[in-house]
Amino acid sequence: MTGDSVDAADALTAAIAAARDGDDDAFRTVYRLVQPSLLRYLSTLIRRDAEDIASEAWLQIARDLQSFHGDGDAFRGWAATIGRHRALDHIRYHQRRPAAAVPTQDFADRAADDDTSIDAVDALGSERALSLIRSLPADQAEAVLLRVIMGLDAQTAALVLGKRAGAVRTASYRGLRRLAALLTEPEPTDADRAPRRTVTPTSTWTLKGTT
Amino acid sequence: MSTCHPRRVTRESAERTLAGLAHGSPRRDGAVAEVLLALVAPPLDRETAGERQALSALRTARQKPIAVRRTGTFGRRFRQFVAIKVAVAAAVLAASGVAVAAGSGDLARALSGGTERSASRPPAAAHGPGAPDQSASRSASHGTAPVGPSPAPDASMATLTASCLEFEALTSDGHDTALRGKAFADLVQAAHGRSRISDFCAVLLTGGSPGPHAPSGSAEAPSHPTPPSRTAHPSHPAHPSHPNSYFDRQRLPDTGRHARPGLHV
Repeated sequence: MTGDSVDAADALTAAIAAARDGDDDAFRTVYRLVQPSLLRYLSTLIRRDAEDIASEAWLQIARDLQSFHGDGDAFRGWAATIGRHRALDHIRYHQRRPAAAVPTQDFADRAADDDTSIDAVDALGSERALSLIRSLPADQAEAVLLRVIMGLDAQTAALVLGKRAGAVRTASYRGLRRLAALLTEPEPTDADRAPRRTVTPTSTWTLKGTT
Repeated sequence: MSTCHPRRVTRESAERTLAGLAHGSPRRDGAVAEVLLALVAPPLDRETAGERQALSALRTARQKPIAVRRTGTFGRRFRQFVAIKVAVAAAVLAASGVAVAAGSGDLARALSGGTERSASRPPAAAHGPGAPDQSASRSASHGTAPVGPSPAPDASMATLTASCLEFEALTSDGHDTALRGKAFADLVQAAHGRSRISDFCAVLLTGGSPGPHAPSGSAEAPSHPTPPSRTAHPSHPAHPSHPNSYFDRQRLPDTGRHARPGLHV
């Protein structure tokens, strides 16, 4: 996965080179190394159709792979960029609310049934963890996801988001701090469970990363 | 379970946590770290369900290789830079031409519509994509040309198109004779020579822009018509994203699902 080690990055770099030379197995390796990360990232941007968007992204990756030049980290950044653009296009296509910043129900419907309470950590699957991340403001969630799931450094994540690296560092820091705040809330009881679910204001879920 | 109080999360510790994850040595020192580790949990089978589809897309792409553009970031930025330079230079030239034309009185004549050239200005449809603005280029040539009988009468696109049609209608035997006559003088001048008329007309009649009609004095510069297929930067409407595009900080369009273009300079 993304955080394994430098060896994993080297393996991805080698697999990309081999895939460009026509090695199908190498392309499978690239897919298996990147797709889970990409899908988890996209599922935070746009939950319902994340699989479709990821598939579209891979079609484009497959088509343009020959003209890609770079190492594994650059490839992750490229894949994230393609997926993100597809997701944003998808959101705009289904514009449910005409607005410059794109607040989307798709983007925001993540928390409707998700329990973001601390007991999510008890059985931490990636789904639970993603639910927690989705409860962060969008810019913070994206910064954290690009850096953690996609394994990008702040500079590359900044390129994906069209921001400065400093802004990405700040957003990730705030995201982690907010996450810590979520996790240190008192254990829920039956009485306060309902109000605690409203901790995440949906109005903060706007996508502002295009500048 | 250990917890991590928000006050303990500093910029430095956040960067350390993220860097540790990136380098495969995560710090298991709190609930936040546990969550982040869970984010990169081993993949589930369903997450790679589209593998076959992606592979088939790759095979299809190999069978129909796209035209590979030069992908160097530097090359792209350099082309952008040059294109901007050229655009600015053209704008300055046009503006200065207008200024000089205004000084010499040509602008007033041109604006009055009294000259036969402005009367025969082509319809907008005659402009190919990227065709130079006729009035701007005419003003520019008037501004830089010596006052007096112009050595380079600037035929309009419509006139040139008509001449081309006539030229095409002639047999090849009649070409040389006809081209010496006055009827095709404008066409010869616009194409920068009789031998280039065929290419010029081919571009013009297929809807391309044969390029600005420079006076023949500047014919050293190879501004002869260039067929559309030879343009330096072909557009790829079906190729909406450049592989290295994330280096270029593109802005996204506001509309259109697949309308995000690469930067075609």
